[in-house]
Amino acid sequence: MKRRTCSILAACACLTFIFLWEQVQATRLGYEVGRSQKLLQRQAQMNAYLRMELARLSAPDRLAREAQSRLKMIPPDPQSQIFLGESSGDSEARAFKASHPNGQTGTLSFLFRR
Amino acid sequence: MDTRFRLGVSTLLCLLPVLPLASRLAWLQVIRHEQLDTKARGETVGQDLVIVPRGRILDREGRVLAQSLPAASSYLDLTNVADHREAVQKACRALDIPAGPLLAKLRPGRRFLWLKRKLAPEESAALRYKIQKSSLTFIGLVAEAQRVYPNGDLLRPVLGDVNIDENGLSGLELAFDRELSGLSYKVRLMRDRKGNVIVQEPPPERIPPPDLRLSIDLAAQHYAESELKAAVLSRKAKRGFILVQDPRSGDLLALASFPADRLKNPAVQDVYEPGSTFKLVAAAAALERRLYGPQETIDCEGGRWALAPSVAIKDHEPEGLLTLQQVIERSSNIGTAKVALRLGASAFHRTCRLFGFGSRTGIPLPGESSGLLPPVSALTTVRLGNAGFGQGIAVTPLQLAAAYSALANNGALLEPRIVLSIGDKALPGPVRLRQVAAPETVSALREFLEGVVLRGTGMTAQVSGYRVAGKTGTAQKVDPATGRYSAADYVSSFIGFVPADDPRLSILVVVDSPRVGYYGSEVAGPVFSRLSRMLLARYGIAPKAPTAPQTRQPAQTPSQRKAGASPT
Repeated sequence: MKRRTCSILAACACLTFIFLWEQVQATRLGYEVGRSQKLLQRQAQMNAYLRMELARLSAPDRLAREAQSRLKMIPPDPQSQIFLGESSGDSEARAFKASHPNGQTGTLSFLFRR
Repeated sequence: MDTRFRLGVSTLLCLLPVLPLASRLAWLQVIRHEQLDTKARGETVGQDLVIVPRGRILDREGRVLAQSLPAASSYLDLTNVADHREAVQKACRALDIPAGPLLAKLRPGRRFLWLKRKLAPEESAALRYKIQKSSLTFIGLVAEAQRVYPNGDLLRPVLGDVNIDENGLSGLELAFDRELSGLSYKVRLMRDRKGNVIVQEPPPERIPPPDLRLSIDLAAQHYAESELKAAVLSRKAKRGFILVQDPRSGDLLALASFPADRLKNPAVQDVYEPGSTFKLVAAAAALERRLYGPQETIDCEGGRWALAPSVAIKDHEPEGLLTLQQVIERSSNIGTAKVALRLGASAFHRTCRLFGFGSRTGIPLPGESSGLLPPVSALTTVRLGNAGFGQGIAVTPLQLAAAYSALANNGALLEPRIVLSIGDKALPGPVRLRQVAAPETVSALREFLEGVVLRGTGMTAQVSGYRVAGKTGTAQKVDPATGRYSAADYVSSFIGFVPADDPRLSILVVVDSPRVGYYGSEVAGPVFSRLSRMLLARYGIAPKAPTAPQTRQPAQTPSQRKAGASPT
């Protein structure tokens, strides 16, 4: 009888301890999740701002202004344009075309080559 | 006393001091549980406003045209403030804004005032610091979003604008307001004494609004707007439009108007008299009905013809007998009027409708005009003759661009497309509306239009190394003061497609009320040529034809202008 009572009391103590431990862990993890959420929110905001800054900096108007004023580039003469066609023997051009399959970036890059 | 009694008394004596404690515990935990729990939650559980920003607008290659960024707005909560004026002054000092306008808004009993909305992140961080440091507890910050257009005024008439609460006001922002609208919702948060958040349950998942992907190509738009701005400024014109369309898909690649108005898109909302660019309708109808044989000539009356006793039509150059092709190439008003009269009002009107004039194109932009096409009954001899060369009717730039794109697309009229997808959902591909003319008619018309650029009025639109087809237009404007056509106010335009043998780009250039030069060939033709060259390079379309021979000097140059010459 005495042994049984002791066992029950020990089990109750264990359960109480587990319950308390679980509550403490839940609160601790709650803090951690809260901190992570805040960090995630900040990083997402920063990401959005940086992407917007990138979009602003790569706006065509700005690029054209910079290209002409700072880098002294000029719109090319039609005769100096190189089209990266299939018959092109230029290895540089072929390599460029391979890396830009839609053919647009390659053409533009060559547009301003002096 | 027996042992049992004594044990009972001892137990009672031990429990007696605990009894009040147990009673108090029961009182707090059981009887007043609800009340105290609410009070405790009130102090630890708060609400946080979560903003899901409005959907982005992207160009065809995914470059950002419009995006909403998180922002914070500051406000004044005067609920527990005794001296409202002092609080306003302190808040304005913290934000470095003038206090006058806010003080003027103060009224007895008013507890809420916006201080400064849409603060940049660094501004809101600085304000938070000041609030904490100086105990400015009457200043609050609330999360909001701010719409940003990273390319400035580029494409703004198409994109439109939003109000301070991020609701669409105009353009695509208005047309797709329901799809793009952001969300804001409140979540319950538990905070400790220091304000740290303790998450007890995951926040509800909300699907962010979808992005809108347009058919517009940012680079093409930039080229178009740069050329248009230069043309309008150098010609001292009132305004101008450029439309670039891919005739194979109906995709609008650029839609420029200058000066840019965020609340209005004149390329679809405004109408103008197209002048000679409209001659294609009479020519198409005549070819379709085989009214004229290839060698059959039309008498252009030496440049002046009395259509009615008091109505004379004039050509910009005296012309004699011309074939239908030559009428188009030399842009003879008299020849085209005669073609329209021979067609008759009903056939002419039917062809106009077939090309899409007089009805909306169906583009999802707000306020699209259907143009002004008189009913058949109103097409009297004079009005029909004038309508043949584009006077007395009005079209939108988009309608005209779509009609020429149909010619470039072997006669298939497509619905102009500006939105490619909403989120993951791609919108239907090219929507074919109808066939505007038989393939042989289209082929002949394309030959006519190539002739315009090779030999006729559109030589200034030539692009070295490419075959170009197009038509000039110089339309007189009606003087609102007199109600008659002005001799000094014109709409100069050029519309065409390139390469003519395999059209990839259909381009319309319109310059409204130029003060330096006014013929379409002189004002709009060179813009078409320069823009085409840039876009052909942009899309990697290599030249095929040798440089076009200059077989005839442009018909209209300032030195060659003749007094009293009618527009072409």
